[in-house]
Amino acid sequence: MPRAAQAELFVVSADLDGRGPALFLVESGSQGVSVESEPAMGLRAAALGQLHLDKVSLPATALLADGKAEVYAECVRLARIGWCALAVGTGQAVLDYVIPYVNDRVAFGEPVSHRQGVAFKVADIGIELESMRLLTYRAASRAEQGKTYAREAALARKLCSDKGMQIGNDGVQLLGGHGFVKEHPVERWYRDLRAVGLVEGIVLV
Amino acid sequence: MINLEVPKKFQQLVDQAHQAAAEFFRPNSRKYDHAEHTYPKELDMLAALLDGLSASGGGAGAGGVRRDEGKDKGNRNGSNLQLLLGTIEMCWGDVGLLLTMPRQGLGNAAIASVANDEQMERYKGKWAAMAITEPDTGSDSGAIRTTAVLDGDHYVLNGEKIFVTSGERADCVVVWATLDRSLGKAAIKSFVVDRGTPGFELVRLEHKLGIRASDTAHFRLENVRVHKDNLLGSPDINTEQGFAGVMQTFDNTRPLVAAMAVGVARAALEETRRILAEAGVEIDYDRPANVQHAAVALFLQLESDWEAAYLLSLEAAWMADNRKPNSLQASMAKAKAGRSGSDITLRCVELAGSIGYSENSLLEKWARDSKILDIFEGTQQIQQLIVARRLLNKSSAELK
Repeated sequence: MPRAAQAELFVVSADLDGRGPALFLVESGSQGVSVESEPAMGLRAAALGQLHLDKVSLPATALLADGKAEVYAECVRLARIGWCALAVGTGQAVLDYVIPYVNDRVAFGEPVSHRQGVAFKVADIGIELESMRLLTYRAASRAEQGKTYAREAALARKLCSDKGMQIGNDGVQLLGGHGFVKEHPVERWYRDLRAVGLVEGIVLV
Repeated sequence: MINLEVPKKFQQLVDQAHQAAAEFFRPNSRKYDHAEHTYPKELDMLAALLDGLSASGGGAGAGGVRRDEGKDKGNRNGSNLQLLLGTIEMCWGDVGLLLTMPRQGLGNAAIASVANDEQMERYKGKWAAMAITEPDTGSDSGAIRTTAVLDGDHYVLNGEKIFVTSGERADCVVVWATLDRSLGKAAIKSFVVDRGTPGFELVRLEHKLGIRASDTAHFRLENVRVHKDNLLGSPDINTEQGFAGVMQTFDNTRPLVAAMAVGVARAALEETRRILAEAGVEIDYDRPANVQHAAVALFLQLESDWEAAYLLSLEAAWMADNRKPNSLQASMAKAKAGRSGSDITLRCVELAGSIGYSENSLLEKWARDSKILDIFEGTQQIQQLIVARRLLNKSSAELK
């Protein structure tokens, strides 16, 4: 989870008496709570860490929303929309960086963007990014209006994870060797977007 | 800002279109897939119904693509969005049958978009097809070779036209021809040629992969004389404006073809969901895809692509209604819906196994019908070119 070492409070999901997950509020100073740094492929600025719970005893008031399953499900759905927004923003950063790069980079006497192999990849980033944005907006807008949105959040999550990873990958590819080195930010966005493809849950809290 | 839900005022139209698709299209779907080149007479009653709707200002017909005048401020949900939503429902029923609806041809859309008042009156109630493509020219429609030469009060047309949807069934065909090849795209004009005009010869009808309910004609034009009043729009050659006017029409029609793909793909997804449920596989939106059945994970991927195609189409139509330049979004919608439509319907065949491959289900037909939607009205690659040029700020000379 992001900033685990600095956090003062954790919202922890745990199985409640075999009835499924519920949410608990855990203070970082509680007996039995320890945090271990967990350097990862991406999201490094977020200083990811692992939380260990060893016989942590909590007051009954630490249970959030009376342990209602629907509240837990709601939190997961909202977190999914949050992850989607992360993918949309990072994907936009890739597109904004790649466009001037392929227009400026000259090979065989003209900008590489004049080649269909390059240009069509840029087009696809644009198309999928707009798709991701619209699905994210729709899920968020339905949540905001109190409509059902489990389906929309799940579909946005799926699209943003699949296409977000694709955009990161294509971004690196379009810069060629320069996409692979840290002089350019694209390899970092690629690593960050990789997270959206696998992280599930309420990590954004 | 765009509302990504169906506007309340269009819900009734969506329901009516869905009902029509369920009653008139679905039951005849397989029949005219088999009976290629046979006119689906069952459509006559529905066509009459649609004529009535069009006359009252509504309907899912080819009312043309003139942009609405009127309300200037705020959010407008107008005829482009309405037509798009109707098209999705009808194509959920059968895209081939929609394409051969009497008096709803692409030629009708062209007439409604650019004809003068006298021509509008003259062609009222006629079924008009559209002839652009030639044996040597597809996407590069600026390179057509069919010629029109003024001779007294008539133009004399010579050339060859292929892939004319409803060419045999329509009352007239809107034919693209050039007044002067040396003047390029600006010299290309459209002419209404009535069926039966001497020299306008039907060569043959195509046999196709899909949309077999819709006939696709090949014509030869040999000294076809049409009155000069049959030229749509202005006879002047304006080299400044070039092709821009014609191409703008595509900004409004491409979202509709995207809508066709969205409609067919939704039919395939619904049927596949039903078949999976019968096999005990239910889709759970709350659980991560990768802890569910592999079929569910694939279904979620297909449905997310579908949702993207659907929302991009809504956005492109909504922008047209709100008079925002939508060339980029129209091509994005067409590109995404075209490829996703083909992919979704074929993957649904795969998910349904032997049922999907058999003619006992419509799944294999939808997979065949979808392919054309990634080809006509601008192929996948043409859409990618347009999107790339816009994003990279390149001219058609720089990025070919």
